[in-house]
Amino acid sequence: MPADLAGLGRFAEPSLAILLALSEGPRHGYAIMVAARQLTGEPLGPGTLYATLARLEANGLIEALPVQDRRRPYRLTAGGAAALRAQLEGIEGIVQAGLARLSSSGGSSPTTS
Amino acid sequence: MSADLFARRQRVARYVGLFPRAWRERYGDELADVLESEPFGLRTRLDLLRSAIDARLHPPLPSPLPVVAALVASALAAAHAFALAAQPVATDWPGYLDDALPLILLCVVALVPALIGLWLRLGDADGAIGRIGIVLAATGHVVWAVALAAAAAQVAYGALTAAAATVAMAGSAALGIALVGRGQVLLGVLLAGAGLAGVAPPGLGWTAFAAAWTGIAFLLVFEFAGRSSANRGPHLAG
Repeated sequence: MPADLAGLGRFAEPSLAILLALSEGPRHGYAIMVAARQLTGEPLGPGTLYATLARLEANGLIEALPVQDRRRPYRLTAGGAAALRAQLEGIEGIVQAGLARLSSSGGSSPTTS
Repeated sequence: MSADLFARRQRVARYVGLFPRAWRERYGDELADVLESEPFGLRTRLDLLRSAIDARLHPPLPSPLPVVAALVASALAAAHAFALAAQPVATDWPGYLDDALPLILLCVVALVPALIGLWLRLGDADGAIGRIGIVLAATGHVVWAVALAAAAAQVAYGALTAAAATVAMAGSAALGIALVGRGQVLLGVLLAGAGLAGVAPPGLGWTAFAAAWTGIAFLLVFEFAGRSSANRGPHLAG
């Protein structure tokens, strides 16, 4: 099981969006797609959605629940929640370091000269 | 059912049908449900095409095709190298023998699926070197095969064949370096060696090329046999 999502290559970003969408509770494919779009502001195509769901499921980060009216909900596993937390903490570290650097430089815009 | 809905469902079924059977059995109904709720624009169609190719390249169980292709290619490369080594004098530039052209032509064709199989071992995080490597290697081998076919038909020979072989081998070397970077050291070194054989003089180069691909084929066969017996284990135990 990957400790982070970097091993998923181009599927790392959609994976983060999907794990975030599932962090509130189980959702089926269409609901995941809509929530992921709202969270990231980026379109998530249905093909990419299912290619990513298949990888997350194979890596044990999410699990499928029984089908309800032709729609199959998915939920985060404990490993998926840990991977999501690690990813968010990594991003938070970058944000804090970046803001600290901006503050120490007085927040001035970079110059070209 | 309205004509619009019927047409939409037919279109959805066409796109879902692009995915392999095992994938459709698991995700097909869900994908169809999402597609029936979504605007079906160009972006969605391109996304589906790309994902269908991805699903075919990443089957749940690895395909034996790259292993068989590598084995066939290595045997053909060895026969080609032997045919050249048996000549009393070295062949003219770029180093092919008319009688042995079919051998190297079939070898180059077989190398395409073998190389794609090796690239897939890099996984989703294939990196820039792996991606450049597979594009150069696959394109180079396809053009090389076309050039060799043209040479066999006595249509053209020379610069294009040599240029395509150089691109193909540079791509193989890059792919080998990417495999080493992912910890698949022996396979990567052999593949890089097969690529670098292109810069050696023709006689020695073809022997090194055949030796490297023979090593790759044996590694893949042993790995595949090991995986197959591991997969059979639980059934036998049960």
